[in-house]
Order: sequence, then C-alpha cells, then structure tokens
Amino acid sequence: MDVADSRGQPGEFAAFYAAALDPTYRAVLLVTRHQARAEDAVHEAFARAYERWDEIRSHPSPTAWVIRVALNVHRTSWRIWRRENPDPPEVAVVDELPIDSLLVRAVWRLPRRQRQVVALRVLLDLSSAQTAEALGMSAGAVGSHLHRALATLRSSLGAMGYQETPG
Amino acid sequence: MNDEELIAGVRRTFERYHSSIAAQPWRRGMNRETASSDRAKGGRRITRSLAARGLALVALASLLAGAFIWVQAPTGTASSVFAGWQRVPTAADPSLLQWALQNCPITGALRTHPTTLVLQDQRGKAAYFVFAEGDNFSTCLGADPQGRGGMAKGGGSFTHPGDPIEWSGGIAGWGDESWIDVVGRAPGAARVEIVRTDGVVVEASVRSPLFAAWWPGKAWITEIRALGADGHVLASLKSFPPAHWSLPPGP
Repeated sequence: MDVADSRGQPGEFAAFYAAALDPTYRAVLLVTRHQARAEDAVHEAFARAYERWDEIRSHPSPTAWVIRVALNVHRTSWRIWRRENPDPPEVAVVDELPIDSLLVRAVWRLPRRQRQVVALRVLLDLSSAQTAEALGMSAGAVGSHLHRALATLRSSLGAMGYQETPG
Repeated sequence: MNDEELIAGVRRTFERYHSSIAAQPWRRGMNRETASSDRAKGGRRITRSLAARGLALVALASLLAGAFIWVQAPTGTASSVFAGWQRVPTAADPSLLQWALQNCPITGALRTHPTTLVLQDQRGKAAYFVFAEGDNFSTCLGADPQGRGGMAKGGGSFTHPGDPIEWSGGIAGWGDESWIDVVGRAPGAARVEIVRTDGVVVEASVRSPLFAAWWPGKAWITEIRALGADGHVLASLKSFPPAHWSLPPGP
C-alpha cells in the first residue's frame, strides 16, 4: 500500500481498506445476494469513508460504519431487481467439505433480518452493540435473530440431507 | 453440530468469496499525499468532471432523440413520478439527460460498468437511460429532476450474442410504485414492440442493435417483436421466464 496520509505516514486508510474490503464484501454479499450490487455498495461506502477518513478513523468501529453505509447505499440506490440468481454465485472451490455447499445455500435462504445479523455478527465479528447500532435494532433483537438463524441453519442442513459424521 | 461449529462453518464457506473491485477509493483523482480538505474535494471533482462531460454530451441528446418515435398516446398513469407515461417514447428531455449524465454513471464509474450513453427512453416526465459497451450494459431511471428527483440503477450483460432477440428485464421499486424495464438487442430491427400481459403494446426506443422500454406497474412481457423498416416481423420471442414479483429486500 502506497497511500500516505496528510502527515506522510504510511497509509492508514489503505491498511484499513486492505484488511476490511473482503470481509465487508462478503457481509454485504450475504445480505444483498447479488455480486454486482454488493461490490457497488461496498465500493461506494469505502469511497465515502475515504473522503471522511479523518472523522471515521476515530469511530469505534470503522468497519461498522462502512457496512452501515453500504447497506444504505444498497437500499436507496439499487432498487432494480433483475432476474435474480436464486443460488449463491459460483466460486472456485479447492477443498470443499461436504457441508460447505449446503451451508452456504442455507445461509443464502435465511430471512433478510437474519442474514443481516449473520453477516455482521458472524462474518464481520462485530459485537452485539455494534451490530445493533448498524442495523438499527436492539442488542436483544440481534441475539434473537442470531439464535433463530442458527436454529434455521441447523434445521436446513438436516432437511438438505446433511448428516454429521460421528467422531 | 453446536453453535460454534456452525459459526465456524459459515465463516469458512464465505471466506471463499472475494471482491473483484479493482478501483481504489484514493484513485478518484486524488494526490497521493493529500489533506483532509482535499479528500472532501475529491467527490466534487468527480461531479464537476461528470458535469463537464454531461455538458459536452448534451449535443448527443439531439442525436439520440432522432432514434425515438414520437407519438403522443393518452396512456399515462395518475402516479406523480410516472405521470404522463406513454406507450411510445416521447421527445427526449435534455435537462433530464444532463441530470442523468451527472448522476447515473457515478457508481458505475467506480467499477467497470459502461459509461457510454446509448439510449434515452423518455416517456412523459421520466426517462430510462442505457449505457452500453460491448456486451455489458447499465441502466438508470430518472424522473422530474426539478421536483421529485431520484434514480434507480441496474446493469448486466448480454450472454447470447447472435440471437435474433436478446433481452434482460426486471421489476424495480420507486417508493411505493413499481415499474418494469426491458433492455435488449435485436440486430437489424428498425422497430421493437413489446406486448405486455395486459395486452398493451409498448413501442421500445431503438438504437440498433439496442432497444429499451419501461413502464409503471407489474404487467409482465408476453412477446417481443423485432420489426423491419417496412413493418414485417424479423423475429419474435414468446418464451419468458416467470417474473418474481417481489421487490428487493431492503435492510
């Protein structure tokens, strides 16, 4: 990363961007279920974060700020619903475990609020409070949605034929 | 499987997804060593750049307008945003075009979306814009910029070049209202007609090989007809997948 800040120090924003881009993208992808929209929303959010970095850098969780902006960008700007891909995008899989393809599809089909909570709590590892603030819900609701999401995933995996291997 | 194993599994599976974003925020015309005030100006520079480009391309409006069929038809809706919608394109609104050139491509410019304006499908106070390069397109709907300005964007790719008619369509929401858009390619067609499920025939805007049309409501497509200059049917498409009539989930 070669971006320098106003004092010529190594690029703090660039480091943040490098570390947070993919996790944020995955979280937004999980919520939007659309690659192009997720990328657009994420990039727009990072662009806004860059323009306001002097302010955002002191935020308790810049990632939470970015994800909130990205979800707002998605909600307000990208309302087109084309022939939606009902399944997750294909990815190169090198060492797929039997459960993985089932699990990602199960996550894909969670209700929207549960997907949001899974995206922020599980993929981004935000705290309940940070997740609640970003999604505009109570911390209790975050816990409830996560609990229901995990129960749904467990049930979905069973319905899709996944069986745990003893031992 | 306990919660921890399940959470670990979710993390592991989604770690396979990687953003393909190539552009970087600090490449928006900024100097490498820049003050915060300059960062704030970055977005405005882009806006000014796009505005200048928009002014330069206003002349394109008259060219594009030439590709439209202008027939007044009393088929508007009572909707405020879509008031005056016509089943045939109306004259292009240059001020709306200028607004679109400034606003529509911004997000796309951050990625690899096309930014070359090809079509303005004006119907009443609202217009649908198609930007296209190669097999890729992006779209944008704008209405009444002096009043209830706003936009909706989308994009995609044509994946069957060489077909007599290629199309992509969908439903979008604008507040409480919904609207349908269709964009496609019909090589050699001078006119394109889209027959809706309610029987209304919508005349698309055509700039060969591209065509585009939109309408308020939820009436889907039953047929797309590509017509020659003399009106004979060059190709007809009557097979359409069922539409999923629900708007995109918001946060």
